[in-house]
Formats: sequence, C-alpha cells, structure tokens
Amino acid sequence: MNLDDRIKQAARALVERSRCGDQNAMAMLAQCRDTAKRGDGSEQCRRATITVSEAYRYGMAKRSKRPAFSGEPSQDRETLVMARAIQIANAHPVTANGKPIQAIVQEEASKFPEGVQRSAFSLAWMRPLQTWGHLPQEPAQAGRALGIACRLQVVRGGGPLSLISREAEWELT
Amino acid sequence: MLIPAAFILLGGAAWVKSRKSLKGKMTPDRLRLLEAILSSKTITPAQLRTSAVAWEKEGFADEATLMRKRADLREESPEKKKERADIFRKALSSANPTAVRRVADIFEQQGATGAAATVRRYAAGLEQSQAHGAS
Repeated sequence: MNLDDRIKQAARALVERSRCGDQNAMAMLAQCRDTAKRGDGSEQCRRATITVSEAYRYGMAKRSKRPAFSGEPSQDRETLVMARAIQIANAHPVTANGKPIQAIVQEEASKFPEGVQRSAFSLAWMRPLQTWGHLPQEPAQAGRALGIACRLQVVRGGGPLSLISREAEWELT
Repeated sequence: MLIPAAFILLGGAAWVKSRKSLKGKMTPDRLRLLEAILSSKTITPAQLRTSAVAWEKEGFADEATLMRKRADLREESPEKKKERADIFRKALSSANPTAVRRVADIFEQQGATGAAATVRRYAAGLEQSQAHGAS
C-alpha cells in the first residue's frame, strides 16, 4: 500500500469516527479542509487535499450526500456555546413577544466589567452566529450563548429561521 | 509558420491532458467553488441546474445530484416548505439528540445541507448540555 492509499484509508477512518460523534476526528477533518483550501502546492496541502477528497467521496458513498464533517462543529468551543444556549433557552424565557427581555440581557452583561469585556459581550450577543475569535473569549461566549438562546426561543415560537441559520431559511422557506 | 503551429498543438495537447487528469479529482479550487455554490443564498434553481450539468461533466455525479436536489427544494410548494420548516423548528425544540441527528440525515438526503448542519450543531450542543447536566 503506497502513501496515498494509506492517507485515503486514514480519511475513511476519520469519517467513520466523525459519524460516531468523535470531535477530535471532526476537528482533524476540518483542519485538513482548511489546509487543502490554502492550495499552496506544498506536500502538506497535497496530503490534506487527498484526505478531504477521500473523506468527501466516502461520505457521499455512504450517505449519498455531503460528508459528515461538513455540518459538524469543528471546535469544541462551538459545541459548548450551543450547549449553554440550549440550557438557557430551556431553563426560562429570555424573550417576550419575539423580542429579548432587556432586563435579562442587562443582568448578564453586568457580570462583566465595563470596557472591552462588556463590549465583547454586547457585540457577541447582537451577532451570536459569528465566532468572534478575536474578542475576549469569556464574555464573547457568554454573549453568544445568550444571543443564540434568544434566537432559539424565537424560532421555536415560529419566528424566521434566518435568526438561527440563513442557509436553512434559504432551503426551507 | 510551422513553429507557432507546433507550439499551439503542444499547448493544446498539454491542456487536454491536464483536463483529463483532473477529471473527477477534488482540487482545492473545486472544493472552494463547491462550498460557495452549496452555501450561496442568491443562486437560483436554474443556475444550480446549470452548475450540476457542468459538475457532472467533470466527473462529480454525487455533487451534481446534490445541486439538483437543492434546486428542487427551492421550487417546492409553500405547503411542503412549511412542513419542512415546522420539522426544523421541532428538531430545535427536541431533547433527544439521536432523533435530532436522524432529522439532520433526512435534511441532508433532501439536499438541505445548511439545515442539516444547523440541526447537527444543535444535536452536539444538546448532547453536551445533557452530559454537563448529568455530571
């Protein structure tokens, strides 16, 4: 078995692991995808391209659709933000009449000191679907979680799907 | 006269060879293009079908099928669309990650890859929140 075949075999194993919910495998596939996208002609890029291509083909063959990693969160941080958002959305109402309850937002924001931290919270709360990797992570993640929780409640109540996913809105409405 | 003709012939042969060698191979550029097509919110069903024909010619039958399914999705009746949107909302209200993933698989089979991705993210978060709640 030559090197390319071994890479393909490893790619198939990663797809299987991803489908079982192994987040390390998902992260590795996402990293390969990012490396392949660089397209700089290096050996690393060539191997990443083979991996992604094989993972894609294997995913297609198994499900006849997109590869497993395409829709899976590539980072644990994303899962944690969503988990926190679900906890908030399921615990108590954070919206009323399709709008966020400002008192709750203010209360959450007040947990962070004025200045950069609170601005990061507010920014992430207003646009929770962005990852905000360059902001201070604790307030940004808290803001995103609350923002997603608000949007989840609105969508669950019949609000526009674009609040949670613009692609889903395009596909389903 | 013969020298330019030879250059053109050689160039043409090289181009044909490179086209043949790239057929069915997922290159970084193609990957980027595919992602752009599948995530575009401005593309029309007609454009998707045109792309599908081109991708099929290049040896990507599965990708072409996916594009056609996405075109069909956009042309569904309003009743069918509402039904799908309700299923999406129910999935985002569910407390059962396995059932949510099953919904994601169905969306994926129908070509709704964005909805599938969102529902999968929700399922992963749900699992995480339940594990956190249990521990």
